[in-house]
Amino acid sequence: MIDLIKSGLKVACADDWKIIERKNESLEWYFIGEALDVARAVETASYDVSVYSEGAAEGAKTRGECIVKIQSGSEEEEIGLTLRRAVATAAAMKNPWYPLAEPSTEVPPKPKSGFDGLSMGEAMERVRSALYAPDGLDGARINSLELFLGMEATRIVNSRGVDVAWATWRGRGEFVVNAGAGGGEVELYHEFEFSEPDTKRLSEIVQRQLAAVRDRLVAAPTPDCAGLPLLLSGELAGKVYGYYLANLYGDAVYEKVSNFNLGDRVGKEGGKGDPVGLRAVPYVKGSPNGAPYDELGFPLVAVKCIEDDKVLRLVTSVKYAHYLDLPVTGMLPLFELAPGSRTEKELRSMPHIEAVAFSDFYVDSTTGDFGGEIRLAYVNRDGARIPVTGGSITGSVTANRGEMLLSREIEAKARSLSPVACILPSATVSPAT
Amino acid sequence: MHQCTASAQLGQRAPRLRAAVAELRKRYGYVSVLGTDSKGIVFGVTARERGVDDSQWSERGFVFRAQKAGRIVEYAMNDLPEDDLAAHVAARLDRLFASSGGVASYPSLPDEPARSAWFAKVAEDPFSAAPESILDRLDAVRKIAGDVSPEIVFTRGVAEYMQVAKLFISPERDLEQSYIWGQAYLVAVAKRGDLTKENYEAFSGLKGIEMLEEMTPRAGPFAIQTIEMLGAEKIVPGEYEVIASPEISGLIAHEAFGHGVETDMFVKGRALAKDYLGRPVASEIVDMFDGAEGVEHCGTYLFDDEGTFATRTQIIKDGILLAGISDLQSALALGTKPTGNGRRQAFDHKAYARMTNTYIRPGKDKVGDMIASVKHGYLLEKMNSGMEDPKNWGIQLVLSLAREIRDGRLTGKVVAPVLCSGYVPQVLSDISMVSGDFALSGSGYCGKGHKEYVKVSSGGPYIKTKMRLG
Repeated sequence: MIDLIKSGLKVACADDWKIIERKNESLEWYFIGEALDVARAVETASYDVSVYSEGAAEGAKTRGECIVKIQSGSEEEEIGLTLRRAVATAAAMKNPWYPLAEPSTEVPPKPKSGFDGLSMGEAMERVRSALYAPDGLDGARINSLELFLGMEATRIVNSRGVDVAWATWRGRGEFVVNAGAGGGEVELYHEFEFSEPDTKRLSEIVQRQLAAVRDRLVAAPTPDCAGLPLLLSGELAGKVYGYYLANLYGDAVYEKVSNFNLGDRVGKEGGKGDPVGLRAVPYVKGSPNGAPYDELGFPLVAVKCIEDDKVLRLVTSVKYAHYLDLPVTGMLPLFELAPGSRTEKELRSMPHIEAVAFSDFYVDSTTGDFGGEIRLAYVNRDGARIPVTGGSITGSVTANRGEMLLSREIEAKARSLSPVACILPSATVSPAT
Repeated sequence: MHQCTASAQLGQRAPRLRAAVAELRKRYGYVSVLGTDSKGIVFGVTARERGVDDSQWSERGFVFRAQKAGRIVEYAMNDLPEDDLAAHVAARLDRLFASSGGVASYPSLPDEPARSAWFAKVAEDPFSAAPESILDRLDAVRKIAGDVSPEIVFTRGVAEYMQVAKLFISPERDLEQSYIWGQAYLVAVAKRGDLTKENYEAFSGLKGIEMLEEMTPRAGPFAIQTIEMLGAEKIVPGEYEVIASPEISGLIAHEAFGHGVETDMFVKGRALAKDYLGRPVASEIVDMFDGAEGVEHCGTYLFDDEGTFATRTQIIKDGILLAGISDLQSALALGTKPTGNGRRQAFDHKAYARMTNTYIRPGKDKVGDMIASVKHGYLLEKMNSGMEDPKNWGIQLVLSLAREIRDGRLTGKVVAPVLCSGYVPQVLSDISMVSGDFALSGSGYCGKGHKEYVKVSSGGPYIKTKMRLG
């Protein structure tokens, strides 16, 4: 297919181009209780073709780009029509000029996984059995589970000689756990991602949710929590940390929507929080979201971006590095956040409200706003830990800059290697009653 | 007018698909194939860049579904192999049927004879227009918003169009449809000191380029609203009387008894609504519907992704919960009639019970009277996101703006952001006034939980109720 597209690009007289091929072979199992409700297999291939043109406007060099999708199995005539449209469209776009990715001698390590060598069915069964191992613990049950596992092979080729390829095991799942019975039954929803057959971690994910849903069963309505800081852990904390990486991206800085720039301090004068240190990285062990190259085929190497609250580097693609006159880092997708000065136990010993499940926890990286309706939280004060439900929590990462406390322990999350828990002193809890 | 036509690509492959389905029917109790060939285009413009790209929702592919001894499996691919198609598919389906462990069993999937087609029209075809002309129009609207204040540091105009084409073939059914939906956005970011606010205004429908005409008159008010957000105060958490705009009343309907009556959740025992059929769940002045039939918006189609014809379901009548919306499997499990709500994010995704166009029926009240009746509350205006909780009947709505009402008047004070929550039957039972207005909006996508995004619309009139705001 790639050769057919290349030949179409030649006929269409494309100045420059890039092809991203993604081949996916995956298995999906949908369970209700323990019974397999539906099994699905998926085999797909997709082709995203970027066509670039060079031009001039008002005395300056310009660059046009148009990304089209070539459907797998398309014939020469259809491909030719699509590519001619792309060439004409790209020629009409007169954006400021930028260079394209060139071949590199850098050969970043490619991902390896414990799934390598297993058949898709064997790999799925290993994950399934790990997830169901703790089912039924103290009367809490898995209500339903959806499990997805696939091998995604990516190849990026461009007109400048870039030709790179890698493959990733991409696993994800979501499940619902129940506790109680009849009209008093309660549930919690959880989603997770994985790229390793880490059966211990997978069992622990379910075990934690089973324990949590039992607590939701006896949870009291969320009371007035005025003055209590918010403690977040796991993926909820990871979403808050993601605010820092999102604001380091060159496109956000170029468009002036980012909240900080090179040389800025991300903390606050006199702030009592832990200083932020952030490294943008291509991989985090266990995360399926890493990659050795970005979407331009630029090789990715870890870059220290924030140290002691100071922005040292932005995360820039070839295009935005040129616009901002900065070195290229490539679009690093993941990050490592430096540990804090206190242990998780020390953080938990302070009075706080810990939210562990929201209806939908959102963090807006542009405004810094975060919040969600509480499905389960724990109010920790006066030596007691009380499960609560209902009401909501809102706040702003911006308002907490310089004040956030981070745990010393770190863990792998879906998009980061980062402190297990954090405390945000400024958050508003809306009680349930 | 531009008439959508049948997909030539699907048409070209249809004879092979029919032959394969006929062959596979000899092996399985049920077999069908859904083919999709949907193309989309996105136009985007900022002060610094312009772009025209194919939409991420463009797709072409096929999903075969088979049933044997009560079990249901599916195989999705986006390219038909050159060799024996039936043998290729059967090899994969057989592997899936061989999956070990406890399995669910369903009554036979229905396959009643039907042949039908629907090809929709839009006023102006977005796919044949010169891209620069669309970009120029978006840029002009963007500039109107950007010129309102120097505090607006970023503006973007976006228009996206999808021409959806689908073909459904089973031994007894041969269905085809093609239609265009469009959505457009004005986006603005405003800054004042360390404070950053982001706002958007959305436009949508089964519309072509004519949709862009709606943007110009809204650009100025939208920019003023964005600046208002910079001066927004934090709301004092508590329960308030609220007037929900059509956009927000649609969101309430969607999250409360849209997701709450998706019957695949009944099968899993995840929806409380199952136990409330025939019982009051809302105030007597509430009527609520969902249907790909009956109104024309982003959730409209002739048949769903399982080959079931669209219907209109009255979910709530006079405050009584009447019925749910179903995909084929959940209808079989529950012994109910399928409602044509079996939808997939794409050909390579599973079908679930999903909403289409979900709305509350207009009433007789006037918005002015509704505001005048509020002692202290808020006019809820700007949707950001929502989340359902069918099991425990919680609801979460995130709004980027609400306006204070005191003693029956808008005070001019705005609060943002606002997180609305409540107990669904209480929120619906507290509906005391319903306006005669009606508007649907279908921008963005609806997820099932946190994935499986499909195009829907929701809306209705202004409603007055009570909610917890934080």
